[in-house]
Amino acid sequence: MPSSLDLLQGTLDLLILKALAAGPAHGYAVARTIRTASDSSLVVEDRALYVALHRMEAREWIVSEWGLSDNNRRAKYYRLTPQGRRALREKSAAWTAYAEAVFRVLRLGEAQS
Amino acid sequence: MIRWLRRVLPRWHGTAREIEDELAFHLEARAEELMSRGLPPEDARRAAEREFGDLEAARKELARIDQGNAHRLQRAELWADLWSDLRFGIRLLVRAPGFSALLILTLALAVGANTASFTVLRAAILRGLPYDDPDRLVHLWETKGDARSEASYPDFLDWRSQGKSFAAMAGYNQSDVVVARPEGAEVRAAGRATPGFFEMLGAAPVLGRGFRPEEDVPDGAAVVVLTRAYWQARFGADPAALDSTLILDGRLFRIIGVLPAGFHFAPLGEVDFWLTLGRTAERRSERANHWVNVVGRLRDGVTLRQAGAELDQIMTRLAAEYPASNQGRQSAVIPLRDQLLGTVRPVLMALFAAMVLVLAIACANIASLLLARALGREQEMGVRAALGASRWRLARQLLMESVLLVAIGCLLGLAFAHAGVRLVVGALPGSLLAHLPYLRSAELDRTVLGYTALLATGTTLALGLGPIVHALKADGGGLMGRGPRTTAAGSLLRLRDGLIVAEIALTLVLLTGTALVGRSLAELLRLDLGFVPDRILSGRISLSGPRYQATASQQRFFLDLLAGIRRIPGVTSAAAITNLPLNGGNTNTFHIEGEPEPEPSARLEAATRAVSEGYFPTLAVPLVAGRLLDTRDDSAHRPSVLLNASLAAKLFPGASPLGRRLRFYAFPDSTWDIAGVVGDVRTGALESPPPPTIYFSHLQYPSTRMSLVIRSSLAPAALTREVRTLIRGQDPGVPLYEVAPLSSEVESASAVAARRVPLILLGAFAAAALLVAVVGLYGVVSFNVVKRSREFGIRQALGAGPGEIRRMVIRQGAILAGAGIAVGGLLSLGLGQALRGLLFGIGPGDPVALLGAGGLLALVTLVASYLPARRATRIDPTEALRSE
Repeated sequence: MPSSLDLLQGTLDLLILKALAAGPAHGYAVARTIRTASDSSLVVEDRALYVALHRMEAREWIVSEWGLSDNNRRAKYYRLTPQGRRALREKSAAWTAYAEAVFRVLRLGEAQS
Repeated sequence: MIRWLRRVLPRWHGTAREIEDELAFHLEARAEELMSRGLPPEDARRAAEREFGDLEAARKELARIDQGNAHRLQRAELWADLWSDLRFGIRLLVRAPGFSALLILTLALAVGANTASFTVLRAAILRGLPYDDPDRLVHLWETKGDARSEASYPDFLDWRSQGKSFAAMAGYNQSDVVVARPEGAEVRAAGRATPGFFEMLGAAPVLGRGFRPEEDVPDGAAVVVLTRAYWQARFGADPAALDSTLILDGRLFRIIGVLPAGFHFAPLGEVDFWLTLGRTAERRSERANHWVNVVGRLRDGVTLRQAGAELDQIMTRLAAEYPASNQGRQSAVIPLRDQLLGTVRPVLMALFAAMVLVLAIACANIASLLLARALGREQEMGVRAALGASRWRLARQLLMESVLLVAIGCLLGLAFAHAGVRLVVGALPGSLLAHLPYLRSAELDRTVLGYTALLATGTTLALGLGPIVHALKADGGGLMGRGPRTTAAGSLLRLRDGLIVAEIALTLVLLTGTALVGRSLAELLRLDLGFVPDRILSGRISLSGPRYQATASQQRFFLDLLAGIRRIPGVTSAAAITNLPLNGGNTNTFHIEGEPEPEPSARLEAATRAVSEGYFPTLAVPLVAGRLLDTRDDSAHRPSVLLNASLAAKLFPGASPLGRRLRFYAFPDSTWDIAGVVGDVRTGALESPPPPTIYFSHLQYPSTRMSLVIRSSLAPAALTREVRTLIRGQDPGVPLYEVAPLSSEVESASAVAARRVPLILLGAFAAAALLVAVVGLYGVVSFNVVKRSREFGIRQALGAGPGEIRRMVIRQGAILAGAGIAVGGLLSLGLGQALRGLLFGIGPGDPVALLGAGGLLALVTLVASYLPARRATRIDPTEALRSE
């Protein structure tokens, strides 16, 4: 249980970093990006998303500032820091390597059966 | 602090608010999206909240994260601020390197002197004695009127058996012992103690045992307890040493124990091993013979006063029982600590007080210098304040400057203190150190470092306060228009002027003291000794054991040895005497044959010495009349003596003493011819005039202990080796000890040592005080130059010459210095009285010392005022006027 949570946590960070890579965005926009980009197959609990955002801010991967949203409302925008970009590069590389390794194992199993 | 809080608090308040806003935005945005898909507003809102998850938990969790985040940011910001303040402080110090170096040096000197004196004080007074429950240990004395003496052995036994105030009581003593070793004999100091002595101090032997009651017998049992150091040095700390033997004074002693490491009984000085109390049965039975030192441990709950009263009662009973020996004798009970520190304590206390004073003055000075500089920077501060730097920030930057100064100064000061403690401890004569062994272990340990840290904190605050108060008063707009102001600081400035006067006075007192003691020492060293000690090596010989029972064998040994030494190439002459000059020795009462017999109390008395042939030529003591003594003055010839010149003049004014005869009360059966008269020699203390002295031939007045005096062109070490070889050839059991150049007798004379220590201390303090005073005066005068720079500029513009301005500045310094010197001069006269005991050959109002010290101080203070005065003349008038 803890390990799958960790994985989820790490994955969530990666998804958020990726979502912010395109440019500053508020929390709601990040949630929507993840949902639409994954065709709603990845459902992230909003609460977990905000916790992750604030944690990453403490880790200095992202910084926040208040700005105006599309419909002129005050919203908190998050932006990647250089450290955040580096984290994104490292995490996505690691995640891809990990996923490819898992895939290879899975395909091996299919071939034998 | 306030600004810091203000900056921090909104953030804390803000976090909850921001989280609320952020979440509300999310929920509204989501609800709107759902509504746009056709959900009713109420359902859309609920759906958004449901999707979100536990809203309350999220608020709490986010608040927690943000708060940690905020703390981290504040810390980072604070460190960044401090770092920039630090760099600012360093820039300030580097901008005026000479000035900063002066401040740091002053501070280092003050802190160093202070720490050093604290270290010495702590080692000597504050640290406990290294014994069990040392505050209950007391030293017991017999008294007669004001005079204290050791106890007689029977009195000690009565005290021990009858005194109920004491949990334990023990006696001790000391003696020199000849230790036979394969490579030759040596003389070592031995402690002597009664059974229970070590156990009472809480220093029971770690190996083996202490003395047993049955071993406390006349002449002592043949058992020995080693100190840890001697066990290490002689036996390599081998446990097998136990039950092996030492040959002491020609007798075999069994080693029964080894004392704990570091055990040292201070009243005795340094000893290598311990024997039983010893002495003959006769000495141990005499109530009139006082030779036992007594220490005791008070029973719990018994006060010093109760113990003293009980001991006095016992003494009263003894006086009634044995009036012949004990009439009028009482007792004294002294805490062991006081016994050890009696005379040193006030000196150390005074030393420490003086150092605290010097530090306080140094702080006041540095503070005023910093204040002066802060005034010079007023405009800069004004600009910074106007540009938005908070007062707190400005104050912090100024404080950082003092922190830096103090930090560097204290580190340097610790180095000074380390050297200073070595210097002071090194300056103390070995004999004094042996009785104050804790001084030798004086070191900068954690407590001392803690003290210095405390000192540093206090100093920082004291230094920073002035500029900070000033900076906090600085208000941007107001200041920029105005020139330097000092109105608020007026009373502070007067206080500071007072301090300067006080410190100049103090400096003069210390300088005068140094000069007085220095002059006395110079006078002492310039004294006519009556002999020429150059190139003479001395060493002592002690004959003991059955081989030297017969006087003939003693004399043979010395005659053979001297003959051997005279044959060593490079030796000019060699001789022996029972006691070296300056060392004191026996006196005898005598009577001139043919004169009426005087009252017993009016008998003639003179110092008596036995010498070998060649003693007077070796020391270059002139023969005044008659002949010298030589090898023919032996038992086969008429007993003959020499008088020194002053005794001859006193006994036989205007007449020749040659051929007259003396009779000594100690050996009434023989009369002695006066064969000659020799020059006066300071045989007693260095500072005392030559006492009346009578010289015998050692062949007619034999002695087992004599000192060799050898005049040669050889290096002392080489000569010592040759002499030792000769002695070993004659008898390996005879030790040669106290080998030293005769000139060191002058150096180590107690009169010289007693003045050298205060001279070094006074001199060091005087130097520290002088520097501090000069810096202080320089600071005050500089301060005023800065303050009046505009005025000087205007004066110059109006045609005042540099000489005029210089005079104006110097006059101010001269007034302060003059006042200080006047006050100090009066105090110095008092000090001279206090130092009277240390003075030699000069009076307490010695004009050379007083004028010399005053003149030096006047000169130095003049220079201290001249430097800023020169700067005042260099003020550019246009610059000074434009700066407004």
